[in-house]
Amino acid sequence: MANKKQLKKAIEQSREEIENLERKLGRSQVAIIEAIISHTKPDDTDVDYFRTYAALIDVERENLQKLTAELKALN
Amino acid sequence: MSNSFLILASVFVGWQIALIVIVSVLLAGLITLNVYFSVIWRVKAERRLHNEELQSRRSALLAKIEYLKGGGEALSYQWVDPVDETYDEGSEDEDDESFMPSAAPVAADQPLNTVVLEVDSLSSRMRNKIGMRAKRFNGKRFYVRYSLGFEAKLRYSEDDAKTYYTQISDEIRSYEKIKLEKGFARQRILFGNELLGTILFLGKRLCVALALDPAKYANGKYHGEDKSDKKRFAKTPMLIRVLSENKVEVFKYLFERLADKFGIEKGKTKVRKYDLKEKSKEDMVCCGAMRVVIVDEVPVGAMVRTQQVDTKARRSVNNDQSVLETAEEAAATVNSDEQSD
Repeated sequence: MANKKQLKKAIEQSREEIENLERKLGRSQVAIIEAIISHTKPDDTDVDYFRTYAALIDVERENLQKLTAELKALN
Repeated sequence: MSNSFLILASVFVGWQIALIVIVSVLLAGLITLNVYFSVIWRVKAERRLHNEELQSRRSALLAKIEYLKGGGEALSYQWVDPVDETYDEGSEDEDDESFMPSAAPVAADQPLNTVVLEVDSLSSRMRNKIGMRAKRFNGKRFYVRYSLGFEAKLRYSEDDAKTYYTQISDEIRSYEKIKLEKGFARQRILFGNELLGTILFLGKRLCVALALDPAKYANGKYHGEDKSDKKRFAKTPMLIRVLSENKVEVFKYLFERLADKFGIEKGKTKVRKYDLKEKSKEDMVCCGAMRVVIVDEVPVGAMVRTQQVDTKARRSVNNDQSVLETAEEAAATVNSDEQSD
């Protein structure tokens, strides 16, 4: 990641990707919460989607932290 | 404009002018296409993350999403109802016996109870079945678990268990209007919509759970275990562990009582032929008796013990051969595959 402009663009893309992933996470989250409220076992597929999207958000957050740190160092 | 055309006309003849115009138009078209495709490529190009480690983790997770979207099987989670007061943690021990490979992980971050599966070692049939037909999976390795269904456990079980199963199945089918419905994890004995019992494996033991009140038969000669406190056996609380011929007789007696309760008549018992031969893991997966559950992707260069998915039948899933690779060999394999792509 060479210059500030590229870093800022990458940071913006990372933020957008996190928002996008959180929206997708919400769909499976609703299904799981509904299952908890009605005392039934949530569908394994919903749980798997939830965990995978949560892991993707973690990766993206880590990416965002590293990019922000790099931009700070350049400044 | 007209001056330049007059100059052109004085230098070149007609066909040369036409050729120049055609070539100019083609060149302009090619340049436009080039610009268009480069814009499209930049827009659609995959985002690069900060470093390779994050990139590979993201790729593995995206591959898992694609696998799920393609109809792949999700991991099975044990569900504990947080409000359920009858749940007893200690009583699930008998169900923890499994056919899962017990190989100790070599890599520190290898998930528990998983084996490493090399996509390149799989046949095209297998790759198709587990949703890894695409070229992007070439050279990749995954931590996987094998989830054995009822049919797989039956095929891998001892000959005695298979014999008892055939006897139980023949007995059930001798009753009129009773259906034996096959599911992945168990078989259900149905009379119309009424569930009379289930045939299942608890660990490696063949069991039958019947819809009878265990308390009524507790003091008799023929009785089973009372599982009415377990949610799983709420509708079929009488459990019989079929470990001997005596237990088959117990089942026959109790099932007759159950049939009388519903007014079901018994016909003639036909001895059927069953194909319960062991199949290879690949055949089991392809016919749906076994599921491959992908846990995570193996990081590049990780030291792992890979599992060969063979095509020969074997007695026990736990005795599969494995190959130990050093980190350098694994990295070299992946690098050469990436270069060839």
